[in-house]
Amino acid sequence: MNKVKEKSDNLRPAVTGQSILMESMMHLNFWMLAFVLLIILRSSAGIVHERSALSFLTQTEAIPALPVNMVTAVAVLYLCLVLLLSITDEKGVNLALKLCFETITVIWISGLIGFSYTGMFLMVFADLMRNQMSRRDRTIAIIALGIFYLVLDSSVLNFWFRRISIDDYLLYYRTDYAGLIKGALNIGSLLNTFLFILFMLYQIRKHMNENERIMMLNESLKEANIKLEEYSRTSALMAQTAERNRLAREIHDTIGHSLTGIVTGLDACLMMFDKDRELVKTQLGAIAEVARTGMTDVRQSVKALRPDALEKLPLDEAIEKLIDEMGRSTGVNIDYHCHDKLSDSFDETEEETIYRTIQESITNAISHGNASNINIEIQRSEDNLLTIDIKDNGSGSANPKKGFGLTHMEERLNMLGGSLHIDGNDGFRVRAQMPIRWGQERSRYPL
Amino acid sequence: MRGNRTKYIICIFLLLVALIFSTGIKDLIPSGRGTELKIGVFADSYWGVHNGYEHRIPDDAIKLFEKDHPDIRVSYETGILKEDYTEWLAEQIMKGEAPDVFFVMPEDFDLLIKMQALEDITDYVDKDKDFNKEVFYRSAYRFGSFGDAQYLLPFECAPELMFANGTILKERDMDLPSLNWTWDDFYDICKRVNDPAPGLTLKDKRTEIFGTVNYTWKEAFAANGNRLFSPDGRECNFSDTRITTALTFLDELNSLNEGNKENARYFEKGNVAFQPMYYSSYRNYVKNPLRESLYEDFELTFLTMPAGYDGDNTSILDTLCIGMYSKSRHKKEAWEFMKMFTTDEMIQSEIFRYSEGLSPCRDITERELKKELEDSTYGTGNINMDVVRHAMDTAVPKYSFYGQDEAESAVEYAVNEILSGEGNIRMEQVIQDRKIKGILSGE
Repeated sequence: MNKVKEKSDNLRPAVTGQSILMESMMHLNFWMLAFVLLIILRSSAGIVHERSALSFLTQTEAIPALPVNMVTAVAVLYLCLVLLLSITDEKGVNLALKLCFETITVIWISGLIGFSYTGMFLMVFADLMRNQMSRRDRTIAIIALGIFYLVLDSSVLNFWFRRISIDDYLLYYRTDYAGLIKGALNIGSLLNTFLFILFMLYQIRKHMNENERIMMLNESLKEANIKLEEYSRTSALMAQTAERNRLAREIHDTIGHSLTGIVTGLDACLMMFDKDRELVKTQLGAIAEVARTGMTDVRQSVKALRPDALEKLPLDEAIEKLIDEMGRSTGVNIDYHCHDKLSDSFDETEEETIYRTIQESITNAISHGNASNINIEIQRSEDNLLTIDIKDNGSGSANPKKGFGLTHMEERLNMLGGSLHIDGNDGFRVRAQMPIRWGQERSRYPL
Repeated sequence: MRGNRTKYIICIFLLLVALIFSTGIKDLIPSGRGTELKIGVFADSYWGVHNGYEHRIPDDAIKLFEKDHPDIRVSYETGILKEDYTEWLAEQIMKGEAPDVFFVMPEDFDLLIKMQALEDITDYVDKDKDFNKEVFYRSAYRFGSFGDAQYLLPFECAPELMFANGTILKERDMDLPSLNWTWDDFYDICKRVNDPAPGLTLKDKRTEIFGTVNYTWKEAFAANGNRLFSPDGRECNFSDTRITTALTFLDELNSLNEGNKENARYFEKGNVAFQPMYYSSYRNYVKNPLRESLYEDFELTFLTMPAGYDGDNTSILDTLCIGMYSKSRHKKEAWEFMKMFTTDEMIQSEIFRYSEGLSPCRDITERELKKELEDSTYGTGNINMDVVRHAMDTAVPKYSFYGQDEAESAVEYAVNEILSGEGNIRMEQVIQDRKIKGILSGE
């Protein structure tokens, strides 16, 4: 990560370099225009003074613009161009408009001086290149600008529109002076092109740096990915271990207890078998009871572990089926009220949590509290909180301790941002609350 | 973002300023000093005569115009000679101070059009109810048109006419030719005039009477109905068959003179029967007190030009026109001035007093010439109204394109080559045609 940061710091000089180059181009173009205007002014004054206006007009076959007007218009337009170029934070349509504006200004300026100098185009090019835009847009813009530039620079238009160019004015000067001026103009143009090339080099460097940075980011992303994969593997392993622990505990809690009771009881029976057969008989009856209870526990455990109704049915129906089955198999009366439609409102984890919470609570009520009546109520509150109330009329517990089942339940709820409250007075009461994330819109229209 | 908006607003404002300066909208803003119309004129006469009247006609025109339009002031720069006029106009255009209305020399016409310096006045002509182009001789009016558009109005014109020494013809017992005389008549008279009088030796022939001088290819081509150059001077059809006929005729005519064509002064001395001259030259001769004496001993008269085999009695018409600057700020006023300058009776009749041309307005010219005939201002009299009328009606405009001097000398050279050579005229024509076209296209 540090490397990436270092690289991005390297970019800053490139940007400054570019803006320096842009400013240099603005300066250079200003002086070029001033030079061209000076020559036009000087030679038109000279032409009138030396009485060769007729031969000049014969050759140009066009009315030259009034020098004062020309200078004013060029100066004003150039100022406008510089202002436009100084706007660097445009995007999208605004950017396109700005570039159009710039192009029009440049065409106008070069038109005013008879397309004698078109170097300002390179500034618009540079402005185009330094802005972010899609590849397609950039290609279109480059092609459009390129066509304008080529058409204007190659003086093809002179075929249709006679414009008085610097070459016409240069005829006023002696051939050697004209050559000198032309040379100076060429040097200026070349310098302008050179600055543009430098600008583009910076641009390319900037792009390359960016690419490099992206590649480095990619690299570190890959690393992070690998770590993530490892992490997920570890956490899967951990889940497996936890599940095993749970199984171990389940076995210990159910079959373990029962078997311990049975073994202890049978040992007692063996010892008492000769002394008091009646007692042994009673004892055996008790052991049988324990074994039966154990069997029931095992069945329940197996049921809890087996893929169940939830996987095949929508949540609503799965809960109803669960309640129906539990009620019929245990003979306990279960009242179920759901004030909301549950299906499609939750993701799998949430559904699982709701289902398990209800299942666990019923199991607890029956096995620990010996309840004969269980009341289950599910409702959605105003602040998108799903509340599940399970209340039984069993023995309750003055000081309830959270066993494996309740802890597990609480963990699940906590994971989803919910909470669990238990109350052992007056029967046993479980209140589970969890926020509803899905179907929030729907909560406004209770179904 | 707020900063950007300010920048954009400034940019739009700057673009507007540039628009005002670069398109000349600025010039449309009234200056508040009332309308000032500038006109471009030169001193003295278009016909190359320093007649001493300088700016007499423009002055009178301005007086009249300012009387009718008290809110308009008309000014002009004095003392520009005709020779310097085109250069002066070019300078004014370059300096952005070109006059609103100015005289246009025929040879500058197409250049000014190419430069788009001339306003197309077709609309004014068509829409102004006070203006009727029918008052002009058609040939003079057509002088100012280019393509379908009208650019100029004629101010003053002069046709080329055939001047004849009536005394010679009378001596030889010959009548003056009719209005519709032809090359055959022309040749016939020349031949008869040219024949040495019985009893004269060859030595005396030097002082003999000649048929014609100065009848050149220009007159011959026009008479045979050939427009050699296109209006813009880019094309020429020297290989035309009508040129062949004209060249053959010139060849025959030349053979009558046998090397005695050095000097046009022969005509003034009364030794030549025919010489083509512009009407303005004639007027200059007759008005000039020094030259008047030269014509004293013979009867000077003028005729239409002889018709060629394939043509008509066509005169060449030279016309001085005025046009409106395309970038004038006061086009409406400029048009009013042009209209007045070219059609007002008083101004146009002044041409007969202060210049050497004819008015392009038919009625005025006819009236003035009739008056002169009655007053007999010029001793020679014999102003034949029918001749002027006929000549004006059939006249073709003089070539008026830039570089016509070069083009004409190229043709002159070609004609001389052909006439002095022994070769086949048709063949030579084709060869010279290529040469002339080469010169016209600037190769």
